[in-house]
Amino acid sequence: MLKMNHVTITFQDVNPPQQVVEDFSLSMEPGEIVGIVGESGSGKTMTALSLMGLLKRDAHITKGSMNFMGKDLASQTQKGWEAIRGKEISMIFQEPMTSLNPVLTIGRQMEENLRLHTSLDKKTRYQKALDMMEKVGLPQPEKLYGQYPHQLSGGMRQRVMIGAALIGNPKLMIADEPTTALDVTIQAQILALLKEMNREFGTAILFISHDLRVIRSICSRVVVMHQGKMVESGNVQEVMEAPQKEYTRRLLASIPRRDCSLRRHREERLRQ
Amino acid sequence: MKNQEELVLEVRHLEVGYGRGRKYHQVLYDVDFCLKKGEILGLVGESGCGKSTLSKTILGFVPAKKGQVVHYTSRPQMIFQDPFGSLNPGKKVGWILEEPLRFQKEKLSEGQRRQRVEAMAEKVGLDKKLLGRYPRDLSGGQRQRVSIAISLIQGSQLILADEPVSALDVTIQRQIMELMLGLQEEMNLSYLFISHDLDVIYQMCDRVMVMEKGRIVESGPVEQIYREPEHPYTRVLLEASL
Repeated sequence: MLKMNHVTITFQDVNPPQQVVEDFSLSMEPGEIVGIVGESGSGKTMTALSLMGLLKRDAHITKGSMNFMGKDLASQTQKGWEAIRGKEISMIFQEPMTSLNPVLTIGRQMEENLRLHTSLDKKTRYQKALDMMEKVGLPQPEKLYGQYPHQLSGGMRQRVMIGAALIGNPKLMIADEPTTALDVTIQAQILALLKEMNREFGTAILFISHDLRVIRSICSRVVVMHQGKMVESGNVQEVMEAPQKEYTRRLLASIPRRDCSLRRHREERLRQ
Repeated sequence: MKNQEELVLEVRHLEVGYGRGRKYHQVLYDVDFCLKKGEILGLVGESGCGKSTLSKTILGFVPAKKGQVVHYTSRPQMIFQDPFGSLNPGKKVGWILEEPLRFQKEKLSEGQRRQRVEAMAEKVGLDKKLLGRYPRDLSGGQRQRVSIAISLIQGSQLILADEPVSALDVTIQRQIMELMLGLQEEMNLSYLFISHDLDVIYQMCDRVMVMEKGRIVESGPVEQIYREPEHPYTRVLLEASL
């Protein structure tokens, strides 16, 4: 479904031009959940933005090809992108407060993709929005429809984002750190919701996170990125249990765990 | 644990709220605990539960409605999640580190001050070269090292650390955790370590308090709480985190 081949993304307004993503390859099957994990500056968000045609003007795909369902993404025009975004590929972000429009109602933003990409009448759109709100676990959809983003909690706003992203029934959803700003209990709910939506609609998800714990809980495959390069990729279990590369090992060793406490480990060492 | 009986902080039946009259909104209910010398006490809870209000009350930024806070050490200090907001962007790192020394009672000569700054920079693993840079030139991990150095430069024994590693990449997070543990051992510091991340708390703390809606619902040694949580909310938190 998605095939990225040796993609290189370069910032060309600096001298010398800086490659933020280098020789990145990824393929995804329909309905698959694939993770990209990396620390800040690893190029994971750049990769995601390139798939939405949202790279800033000074960043360009200088090498490689990107193919999505037979369409060449690297050479899309602005108009071409408008037909893809929200319809074929949609995206959710870390902080829904900044990506939801504060002056538009929840209902209007839920319907946005239907208004842009379908010829459904107002009544049908309204009904579809209510259905979707129910599916993503938003209580009292009729009441919420007329409310504004600031009236909702962080978890509910993320549910709105997910609903708005899925309403056009896209083939691929890109989720860029969608649970990073949320409390752990809410994070667990949102991850469960994403899995459920993946099952119900068959939407493939490209899940981007710095947190290997989150990646492990939701993805079947993972790509590890570091400083713009792909370090390692493969089945999540295999990569986590038997990492092949030094950087992956370091990343895994850094994850705080609920066994072998650093504090007590040090105390024991001191005592000896 | 060393010096089992010596306390650095006592919080007794603390009640805190914001607003007055009909708009009064209580945030903390009957918070009661003590922190021993050399101990790392964790405070875990979700956003809005009152974690930060508690640390602000301990430092005297928010008045208590009832109950009291007793300090047994001088100058408790605080470390924040994002040190960028607390570092003066117009000054070099060396100047920022020296600032507390310029205003303290004990007068130091310029040479002495510089010496202390350099010694502290070394302790927290900051390259001397970085003292001549501005905060914006530093990485997140380096900035957190600067704020740790600031908190310790006047000889504070009690540090309130509010999500000190939450904004950092995992590999850097690990380094800062190791640094904080090393400094704790070296100087026998006490930390009140606030985090929403149960795994980080497990790694760092001796005891943990679980806070829900302004109340401490459970507290005890980390190993025990994680193995046999008694309060339903503690169980919810432990199960929800991955």
